Amino acid sequence: MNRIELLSPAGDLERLKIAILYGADAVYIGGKKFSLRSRASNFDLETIEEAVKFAKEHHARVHVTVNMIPHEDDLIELEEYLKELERIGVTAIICASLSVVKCAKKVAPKLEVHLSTQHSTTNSKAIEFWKKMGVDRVVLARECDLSEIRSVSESTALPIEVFIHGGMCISYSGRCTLSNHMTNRDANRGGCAQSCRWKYRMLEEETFIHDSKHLFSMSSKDMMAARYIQSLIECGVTSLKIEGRMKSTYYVATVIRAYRMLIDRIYEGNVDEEFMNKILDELSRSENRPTAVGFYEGQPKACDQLYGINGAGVTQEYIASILDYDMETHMPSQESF
Amino acid sequence: MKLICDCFDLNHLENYVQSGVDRLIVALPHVSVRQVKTFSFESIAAWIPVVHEKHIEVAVNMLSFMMEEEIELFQDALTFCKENHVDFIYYSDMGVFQLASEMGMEERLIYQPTTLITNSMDAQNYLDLGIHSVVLSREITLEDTLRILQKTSNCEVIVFGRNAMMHSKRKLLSSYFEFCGLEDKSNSRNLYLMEENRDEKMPIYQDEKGTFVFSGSVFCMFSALSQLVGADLRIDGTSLTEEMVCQTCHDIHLILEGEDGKKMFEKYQLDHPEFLFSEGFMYKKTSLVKEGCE
Repeated sequence: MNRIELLSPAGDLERLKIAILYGADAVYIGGKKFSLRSRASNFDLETIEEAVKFAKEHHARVHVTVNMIPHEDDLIELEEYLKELERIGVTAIICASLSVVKCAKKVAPKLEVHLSTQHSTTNSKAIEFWKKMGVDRVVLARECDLSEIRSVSESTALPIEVFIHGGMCISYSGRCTLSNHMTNRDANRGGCAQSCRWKYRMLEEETFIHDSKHLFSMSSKDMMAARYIQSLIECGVTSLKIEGRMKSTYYVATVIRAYRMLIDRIYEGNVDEEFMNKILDELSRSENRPTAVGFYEGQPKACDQLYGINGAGVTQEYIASILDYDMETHMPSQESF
Repeated sequence: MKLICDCFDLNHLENYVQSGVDRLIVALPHVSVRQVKTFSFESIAAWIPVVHEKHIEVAVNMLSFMMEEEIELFQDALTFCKENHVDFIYYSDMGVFQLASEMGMEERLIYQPTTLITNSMDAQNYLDLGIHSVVLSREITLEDTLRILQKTSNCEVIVFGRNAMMHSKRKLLSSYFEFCGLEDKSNSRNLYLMEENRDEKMPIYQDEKGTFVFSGSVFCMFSALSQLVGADLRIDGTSLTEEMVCQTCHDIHLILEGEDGKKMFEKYQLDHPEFLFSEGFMYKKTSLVKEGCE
């Protein structure tokens, strides 16, 4: 039986290496082209090649996001880019455009094609369609609860990937244009300004009805699904995905290590409440917002939302990396952020 | 070119006939979203032959995401459409396409995934599946729209109406009222959001499918109508009135017959001060820049 994959985000080569060293089976990264995070990416083709080499040396895989919703001029040089990713030895691309899916299948057939959560796939019939299109794996919408994940997994032949940790879009992914309208930044091409997390007054007709101490917001608590990992393994899910390509090295190390320990202990059949609490405590040290369980238990409740001063705040802040320690002076050398 | 709009009232067919509408979109229970009104299966079944007699096409709004346990429900809705000669079905979930193709109904499908049809290659790739047409995203420039129309036939352009900005599965209004201990007004269709430092009123409502937020301004492409050669034109009635939708259909015909679209746009601004009209992203390219993100 194949063990479930732990899939980590990485915003640069350092974070990719940390993710793998701390237990990720695979890492997803965004290149400088065609990715939702392309403008913030540090992964040019040369760096991706170095990443793949490092991953292979450690029996891990690299997935590259090619997940922007392209406008008329955005697909130029796509073929060459996909061929290069295949040559370099990237395992999979994650994409949302049918044109990208078809192009990859044609020009880079060794690349696995994973359908991005940007498509908000919620059912086995949609997965059947994507299988016919040549897709090799589908990332389910974060709106699916555990029973829906279970029944989709039972009804589909394609491997399923689900998010287990990190920030949540308040909208069905890929269908939100709040950022476009509020800031002229295209959410589906990497420009999301997270306007959902802003504060809004509320009116009925012409009368303000909001609570002035807590303005309305569409800000969700982050997801932490550690307690569902065993069920997801039993469901036959293929991959557990962590959100957060822009997060720090510390976040990647903390979160990946915690889930690695948890997954390994589940396969050993050795997870008790004390161990689970240790994992939850460890995860609470990463720089997430306050956490909830997303849709795993069904419709999120009022307490799963963030209002007022809690708005977008993370509970921990990454301040520095310790690079070395002088035994004589007892002083660390550090790189501050 | 077909002129398409939402149907507010089955009994007002004559209004739509007089306005020159070619296709009416109706909403069915549980499978539709962003509908102006939901009708029963029985009333639609009885109404379709009457509409067809007036040479107007009937389309069903099947734009909801389909959850796994709803597959049978969507299958039943498609069967209803087939048996009752519904001309077209608007959908946004490829699961609906899969179901329809198993029933041999692809040619009745119109793909409207709100944000995803932003280039001619994607438009053509979806059309190649055998569906009738695709609805272009509203967040692209007029230049891109025209380039897509030049390369691809069977496209629909939404030329008038509020833009659907956000659909959350969450019950965001109920949650907020509960959190604040306020009276639960989540059933109201008269709620608006106003960003704390701005004054644009953006409609928000909640129903069984979640929470929806719409643009504060009404997107209006009057100035470019004559350039949209070959496209079907659509008026989205969400948060508008039937009167305004019918008037707009009528005026679109006037523009297509030669009236000045820019002047008509200015006239709407004067005649309807209660609405904010805009040309959306027609002349405005969105940026890819991101600062601080997930």
